[in-house]
Amino acid sequence: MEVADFTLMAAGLCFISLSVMLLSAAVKFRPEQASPNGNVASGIIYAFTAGMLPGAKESASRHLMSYTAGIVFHIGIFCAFLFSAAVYLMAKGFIPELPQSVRLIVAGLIGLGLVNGVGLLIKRIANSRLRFISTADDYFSNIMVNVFLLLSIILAVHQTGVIFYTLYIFETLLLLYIPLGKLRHCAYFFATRIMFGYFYGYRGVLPAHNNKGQNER
Amino acid sequence: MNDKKSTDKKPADIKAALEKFSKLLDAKMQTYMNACVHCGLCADTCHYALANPEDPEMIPASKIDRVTAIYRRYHTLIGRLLPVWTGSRELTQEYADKLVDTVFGRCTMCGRCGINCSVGLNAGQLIRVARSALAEAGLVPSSLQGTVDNAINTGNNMAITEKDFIETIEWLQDDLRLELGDDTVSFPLNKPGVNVLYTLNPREPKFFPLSISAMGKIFHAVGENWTLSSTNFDVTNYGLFNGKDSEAQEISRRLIDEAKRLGAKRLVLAECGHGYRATRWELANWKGQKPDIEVVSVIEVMAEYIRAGRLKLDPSKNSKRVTLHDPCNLVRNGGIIEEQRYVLKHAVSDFMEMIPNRQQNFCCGGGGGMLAMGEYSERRKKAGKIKADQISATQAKIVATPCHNCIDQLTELNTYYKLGVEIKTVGEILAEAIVLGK
Repeated sequence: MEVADFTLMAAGLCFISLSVMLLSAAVKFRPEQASPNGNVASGIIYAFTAGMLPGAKESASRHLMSYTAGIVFHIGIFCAFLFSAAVYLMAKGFIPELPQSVRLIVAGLIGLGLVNGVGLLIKRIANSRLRFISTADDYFSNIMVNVFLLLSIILAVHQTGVIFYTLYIFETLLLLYIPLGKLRHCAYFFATRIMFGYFYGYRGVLPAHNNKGQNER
Repeated sequence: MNDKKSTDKKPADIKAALEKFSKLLDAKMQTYMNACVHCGLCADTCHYALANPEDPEMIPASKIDRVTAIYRRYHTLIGRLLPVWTGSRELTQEYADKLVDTVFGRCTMCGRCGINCSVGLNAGQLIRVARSALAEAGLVPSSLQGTVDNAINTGNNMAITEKDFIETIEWLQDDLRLELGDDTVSFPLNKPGVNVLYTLNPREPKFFPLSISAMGKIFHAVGENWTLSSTNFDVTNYGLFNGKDSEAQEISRRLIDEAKRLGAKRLVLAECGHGYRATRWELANWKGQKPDIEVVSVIEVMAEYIRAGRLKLDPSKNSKRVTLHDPCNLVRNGGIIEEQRYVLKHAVSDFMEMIPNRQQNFCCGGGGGMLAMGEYSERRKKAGKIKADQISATQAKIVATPCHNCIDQLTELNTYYKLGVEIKTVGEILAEAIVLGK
């Protein structure tokens, strides 16, 4: 087996672990019992769309830089995982080689992600309130992801055997770590938004004006 | 700031607390326990954190972390093997004491942080889980538990006797008859087969009888077929705050049973945020089934009367500027958002919203059982600065709020911050605008 095959296995294990976690929570779902005053579907759709915009939450509107940094960071992470998957498929001969222009664009997007990831790490270290609420896991998770992004950039612009092996070994470790610590939020984020949308949609709180009581009696 | 320990000094039943904690880990709680990414962006959304910028323990993420640290320690692999890595904490007596101070003394469970959280974590609900676990360990602050005990043992949280209650209601009836010059004004007690069984905050007959008179006038003006219960009239439910679902269920269930006993079509809950939330929303979850009687807020009823043209109003009778404080449990957690505005806009000539408002309102600081816990009164008043500033910014002379807990807190803030305003229920304002007659 090649090193990237182990990465694929690690990705599978990561996916299964996170799925088991979410499913073990989902089977314990207790729906609201009172008569609804709103619409759950609207609430959940809102949670993933307008509810994520700065106008909907102060964590974004009052902190546009951090909000934007977070978005760019996660776009970079997404691109890095996609790129490593693409390189794996290229190595297996399933897809043609990516043109240099595409590799440079990918490198740019991941690079922006890395800059913002490092920025968020510096913020966590420099801000006393953030230091107060941070654990070793918080710092370690950020550093691991940043290193992954860095290795992905190098692979994108200058693919060598050493870089290839380094990236996939590192990615394997990252994927194995994801279910263990804070990084599992990559899965729990979606579950949380569903819960958010369910609660506020059911009770007619969000989206705004989605309250049956306003128009009916 | 009062740092006095809130607990009586007796050994906590830690094992019971942990068992309860595990039982409460349903889908929602398990999700929330794993959701916080420690971004810290919640700090600006919390009235406690804003009023105490020097104290990082007031940040919602920090408060949540005290709870999730226990989850990680007992329910995650790394939390068990390497606690220091993820900040996992063992639930010891010492940690339990700190947890009491956090979940009872630093959070009103208003949910404002949750609606603004990056991921959407409803911290208020997570904090209540912690309160439930601590309650199982016998660690509910005695001041708060005393209020619940009164409600369970006497039928109302102020232990008003039936005799005293009846006398007060009869006096209010006579008083309103005199005021309106109308002997048909009636405050029925225990009348069967009515449309409305109305409930009260026990503080009303004790300290704020004018809000009862106001509702009596409104019901009289529309010709409502209504009644009070002389035994089960208490709309409040501090079981929502002490974390004991069995007690909370008992308190709300009595109202439902009384409504059914009297054959009332609707149970109408007085202006009370947490009381509305407890009986309208949470009782069904505690019981596992929804009540088979309609449960509404009196705010909804007032709005209905106006929409149906059953009330003739003259807003010029309320000419002073009025602003509105949105009770968290009624609005953000209860979904009654526009009705109180609708009523006020028809009853006053100068209405000014606070900013922010509605779902984004700031808690007054009086929720979560805070008013019962004297040991946290200084923190409570300090946290109310945000609301005091909001009120001042409106330049209103009257603050309307459909919640008696909020009225109590706002009354204290009025004195503490020298706001120079009057605090009234929405019903009182509406009653003043009513035009009676042929």
